[in-house]
Amino acid sequence: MKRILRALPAVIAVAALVVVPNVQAGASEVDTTVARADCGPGASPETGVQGQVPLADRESGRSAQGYSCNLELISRFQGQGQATVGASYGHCQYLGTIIPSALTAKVKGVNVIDMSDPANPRLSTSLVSPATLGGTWETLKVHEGRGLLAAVSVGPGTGGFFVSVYDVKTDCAKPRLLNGVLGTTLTIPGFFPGHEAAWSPDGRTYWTTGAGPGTIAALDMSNPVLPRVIFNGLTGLTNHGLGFSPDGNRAYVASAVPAGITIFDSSDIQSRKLFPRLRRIADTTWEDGGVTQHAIPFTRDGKPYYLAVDEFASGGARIVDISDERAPRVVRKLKLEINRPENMPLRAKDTAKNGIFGYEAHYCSLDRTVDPTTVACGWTQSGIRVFDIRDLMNPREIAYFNPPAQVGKRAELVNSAHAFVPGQPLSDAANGNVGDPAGYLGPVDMTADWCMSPPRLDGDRLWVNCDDNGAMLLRFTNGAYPRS
Amino acid sequence: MSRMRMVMVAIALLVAGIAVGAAGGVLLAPAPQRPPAAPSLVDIGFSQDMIVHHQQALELAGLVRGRLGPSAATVAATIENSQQREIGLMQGWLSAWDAPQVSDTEPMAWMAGKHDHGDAEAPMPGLLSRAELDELAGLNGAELESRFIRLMIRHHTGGVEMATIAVREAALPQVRAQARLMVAEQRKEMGVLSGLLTAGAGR
Repeated sequence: MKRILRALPAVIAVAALVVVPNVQAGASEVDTTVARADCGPGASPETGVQGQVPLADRESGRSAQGYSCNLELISRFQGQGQATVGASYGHCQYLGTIIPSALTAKVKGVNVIDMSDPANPRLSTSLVSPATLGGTWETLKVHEGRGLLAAVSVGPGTGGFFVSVYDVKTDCAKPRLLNGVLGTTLTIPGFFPGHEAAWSPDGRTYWTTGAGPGTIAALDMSNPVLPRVIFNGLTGLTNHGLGFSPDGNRAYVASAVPAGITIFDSSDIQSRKLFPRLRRIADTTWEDGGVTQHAIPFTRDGKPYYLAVDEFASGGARIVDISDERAPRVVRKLKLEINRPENMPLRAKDTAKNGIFGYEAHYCSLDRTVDPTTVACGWTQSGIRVFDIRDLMNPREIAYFNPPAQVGKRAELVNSAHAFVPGQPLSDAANGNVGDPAGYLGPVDMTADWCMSPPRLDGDRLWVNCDDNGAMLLRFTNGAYPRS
Repeated sequence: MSRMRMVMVAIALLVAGIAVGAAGGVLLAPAPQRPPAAPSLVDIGFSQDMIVHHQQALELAGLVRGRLGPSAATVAATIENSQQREIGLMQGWLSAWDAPQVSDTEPMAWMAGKHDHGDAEAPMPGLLSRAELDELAGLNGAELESRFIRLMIRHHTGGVEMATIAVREAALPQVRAQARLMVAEQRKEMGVLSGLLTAGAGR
């Protein structure tokens, strides 16, 4: 008894210290609905609920024509397809790679597509350093201001060891490897994880995370000729994508399990301290979604928020108020109609044979981070979705483009992650959706593409890439964007 | 039975149940020395900080992978394996305790002044600076091996210091046991590494 008494102060202290994560699961009163787009002339509207490619369309061949609303295709370079997250800069696109394409692709490495003449898009070159061959996953990222493109060799999912950084500013169609050894395409290995990556806003740091077990690293890119690891940490059970405050002093790190975002004070790394560490500020987790993908911080009328995107469980995207950064609050969610709970049976039927990802949000981008008006997302089998968020509490869809399904082209799209990974809708299993009929393990039926990259808003143009259709350049129509 | 009456009966049964349970508890409980099931500040702080410390050992071993002689390489691989396993264990504890994986306080707060900050600015005993890791990454051959051994010995010395406090002060028996195991295995590894250094490894 004495011993218990002696331990009491510690136990009480711990009760104060043990932080119950800020679970927002019960926040179901937060509205998720997003009004449908009002499609002007030239549209090829969806035939089912918002975001859906109905089974009937998949069977009849209708999905091979695609669906569009206030967006038109002006250029496309399909090539060998692309993998997960690709990037774009200027008039060029960079297509991500998957592991086997290092062996099977005709043009190995990150294919560079020059769209300066949209009528004649062309493959200008391909990037073949160790990091860009065989599996870039979600590391292929451009720093717009510095005109740098970087990637990490992810391999099967949590690699690292090689990073490549290219100058794309001089000529986006002919990226120049900056950290090659003595002018070769070889680079020096280092110790850091790789699965996701992101640039700090000032472009001096390129951060990488490993999916598990929660590894995170920072690479100094002040001199891109010699990238240097300046931090290696372990911050959670699983780390996914990340975003930063404009000053680089806050990192918003996505957690796959549990779904959510952790805010860290990253100022030690930003200011290059000798013994840097990430200080945890707040965990926010939720259960009405899964495998949070990434977060983009922004401000509206001076008030700070982040937009967080879930990769699993039809979680869609959500807007989180961080005016009190120690107590983030989910204030709005964005889901397509197909993501609603009552539409799970439709999802199960439609996507039963089209791979592990269904109608899931994946990567979004904003038109700007101060008072953004528009968010554009790659929403996997729902294609590209664009929302007006001027009224944050009442977002509405303004345009979509779900590219033509590439049925029958599975074998030739050797660099498409979608075409490569067989099976059933794993991403929605938490909602009880494992495909209807369940248990399909065969090759994907290719009845809808997977769009998983962040689209880039550029005036009335939208640069996008999807796994099967490859690089595409879209244009808004009917004055949908930019709004006058 | 009126509603009020039902409530009264229910309360009576509940009170009786608690009394019987309490009596049974007193009679049947083994010794009263059962330690509290809750982790203390030391259990949590030690786990959070030791994950950071272990992660640097993994980095140290990762930086020299494939570049050491066979004996040193074996020790490096052993360290990587055991520390990776222990990181998973400590992450599991923190997760089960609903405690943050990363500490919100200054490193070593749980050691309450027992860390003497001997290593200039190192926030944890034996933690190496970025400059030291960078320097190691740039070395090769014999120089690399002896430098790696010296750095790992220093790193382990700090790890042992941290684990020793946990052996004495952690509240939970499994944490104390694991800390004891860390002391033993790291001391053993330091012994082997010192031996390699004496034997002129990498020369």
